[in-house]
Amino acid sequence: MNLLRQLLGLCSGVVIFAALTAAFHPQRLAWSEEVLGEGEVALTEALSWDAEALWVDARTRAQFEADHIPGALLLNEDEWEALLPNFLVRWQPDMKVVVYCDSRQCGASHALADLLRESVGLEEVYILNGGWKTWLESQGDRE
Amino acid sequence: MRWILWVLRWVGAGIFIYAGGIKLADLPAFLSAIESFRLFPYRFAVISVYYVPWLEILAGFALLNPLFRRAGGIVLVALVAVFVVLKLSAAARGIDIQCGCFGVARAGESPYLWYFMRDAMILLLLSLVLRFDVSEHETRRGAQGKIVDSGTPLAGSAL
Repeated sequence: MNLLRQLLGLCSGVVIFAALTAAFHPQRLAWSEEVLGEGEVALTEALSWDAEALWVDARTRAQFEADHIPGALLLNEDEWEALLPNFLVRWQPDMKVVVYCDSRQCGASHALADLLRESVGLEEVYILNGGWKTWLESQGDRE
Repeated sequence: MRWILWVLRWVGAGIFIYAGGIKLADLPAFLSAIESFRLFPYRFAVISVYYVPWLEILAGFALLNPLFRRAGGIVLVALVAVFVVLKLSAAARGIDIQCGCFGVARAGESPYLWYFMRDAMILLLLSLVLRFDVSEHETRRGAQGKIVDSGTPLAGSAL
């Protein structure tokens, strides 16, 4: 079988399996970034909350120190015990907590939101749709 | 020599079948890894999430199948080359990436040197497989040519 046929056969197989995965995989992904997942909030809505929102950066300390959303505070699972007191000082009962991590699918913000609901008993905890990546893109759009 | 080629093929195939399988097991993590490169629009990233793991798996199996071996090797070399270019681009921009190559890797700790060394080793392995396969292919063709010329099989060629 010549090389071109081999490559065509291989790529056809990949397309078929990829299509089946997109149709039937239990973790199928949304085709649009605009679709909000459970507990997520869009950036525009979160920004409209203004001072009512407490922004929480769930990424690593190194990433936070490199750059973060203005006013956000660092809180992640790795340093939960050490960082929680600072969070509790800043948090007010009428505040909505907006947690973000690196991108749309990173698990850190979801895990931290669960922790805040279960361990601290907060109800108004939201995950920023698209995370830090979406924030960066929105800054690019404004410039 | 043949057993070395056999081992190299199976190791190469195993690496990519494993890498593809682990990506398929956690599609959101792989999407997050692709997005961490900050290069692709969301929809393209989603298509890659479905396409790349199967490309790795099927090309990995192709390495073990004589009918598709060369295509499998070439596709995998091209795939690793693309991965290297993407990582070089991320390293040049100084951003932290989640490699996503073999499961979930934490962002913020991008060990670029390790990524490049690992890719170099995989490329070396694949190029050895391809090189040996080409040699074997040419030897076999040469032997077949002699059979046709003389009209009688070479001693031991049926083995």
